Amino acid sequence: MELLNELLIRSGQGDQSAFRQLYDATAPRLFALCRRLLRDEQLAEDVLQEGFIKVWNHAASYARDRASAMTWMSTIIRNHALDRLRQLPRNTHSLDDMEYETLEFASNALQPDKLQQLGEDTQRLAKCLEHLKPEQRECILQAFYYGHTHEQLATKLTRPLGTVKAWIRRGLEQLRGCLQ
Amino acid sequence: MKRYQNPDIFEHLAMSYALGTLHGKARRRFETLMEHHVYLRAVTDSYQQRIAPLAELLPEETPPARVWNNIARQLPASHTVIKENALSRWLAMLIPWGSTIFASVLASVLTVLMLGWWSPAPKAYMATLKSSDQPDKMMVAMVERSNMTLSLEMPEQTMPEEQGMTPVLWCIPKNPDMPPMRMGELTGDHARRMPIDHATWHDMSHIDAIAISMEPANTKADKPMGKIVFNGKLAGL
Repeated sequence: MELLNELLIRSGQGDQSAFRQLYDATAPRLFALCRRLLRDEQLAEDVLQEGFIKVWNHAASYARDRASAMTWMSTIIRNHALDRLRQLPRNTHSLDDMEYETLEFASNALQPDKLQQLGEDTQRLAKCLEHLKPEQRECILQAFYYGHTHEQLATKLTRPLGTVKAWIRRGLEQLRGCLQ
Repeated sequence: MKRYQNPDIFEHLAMSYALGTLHGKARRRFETLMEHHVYLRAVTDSYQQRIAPLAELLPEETPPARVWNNIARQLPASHTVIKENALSRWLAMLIPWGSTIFASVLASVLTVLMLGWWSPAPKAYMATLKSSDQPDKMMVAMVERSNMTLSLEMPEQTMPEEQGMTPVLWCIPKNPDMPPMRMGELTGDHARRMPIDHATWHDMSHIDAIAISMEPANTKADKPMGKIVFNGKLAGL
């Protein structure tokens, strides 16, 4: 993880070779995130490309003591993907058309060897997620990985809107407490 | 705006924004508010940073090579090379003995120097100050060149109150041998905003952190003697 921080700092100093290494190391996960959020291969490629240009343009403002490089970059690229997602005409992706995968990759039973490969922030977050109720966890992960709104989650889970909102709110509050 | 000074409301909005469930007009309204109120931005950033590591749990999917090729085309270094080559040719024309090697070396030196001069200096500095004993309390300190002020943004009832004590703002230098800079008492007109002079602005590049201590009223300590109630690292923007 420290290597990624170093590469991002060097990118901020205009080092293109470092930026290329940073791209190679992080793009596969960020592309996976864009694909899930946008559910369109071409759009995901565009957003990844534009997101990395944003990363390059703002890399000089990155401070390693405030966040890891991966966290900092994920935030920039995910926000960009969410902006694009919200600009799409309504019902571009109807819930019926969407193929859902399981959230097994974020399973609360992550193997110890997999946990060890993760950054410190991610390990802590994974541990905190284990303490959430299954429905809170499901809603938070679906919203994060698929960009679902409260309404879409309520439809998908066939639960009242107020219930879904409460699950998310309580889940996030619990996460906040756990991560502090 | 008062509504957004209520931690119950803005924390919930910040969480929803960070997760992505705040959308449409509400999302845009919140983004506009964040542009004007740095503490909203700081709280939201803090939530985003907590949630963002979820991306690391995803299985990897390698993007097509064209994505990097398109990115590489937009990077500015090729322009630098072009500029440098043009500069070399221009210098070669000016140098009567026509040493292109010398011109190239000189062009490289000039390019490095120019890039150095053109590298942007911070226009502002920001610190997120966290409470030393109440993890949910925070404020944002901004030092801005445009209006030469040091300002603090915080929700209501953030600043501690203690009988006979006054909150005092300090800038802590990066060099531990340098004494802290006493910026002033956070009372009256200076409770949220204090003017700075040009010398103080230039000193900001040597500052590591901003802190607030509680000092006995009517004393002029030249370093924090009382309890540090808020502190945070200062970063250039």
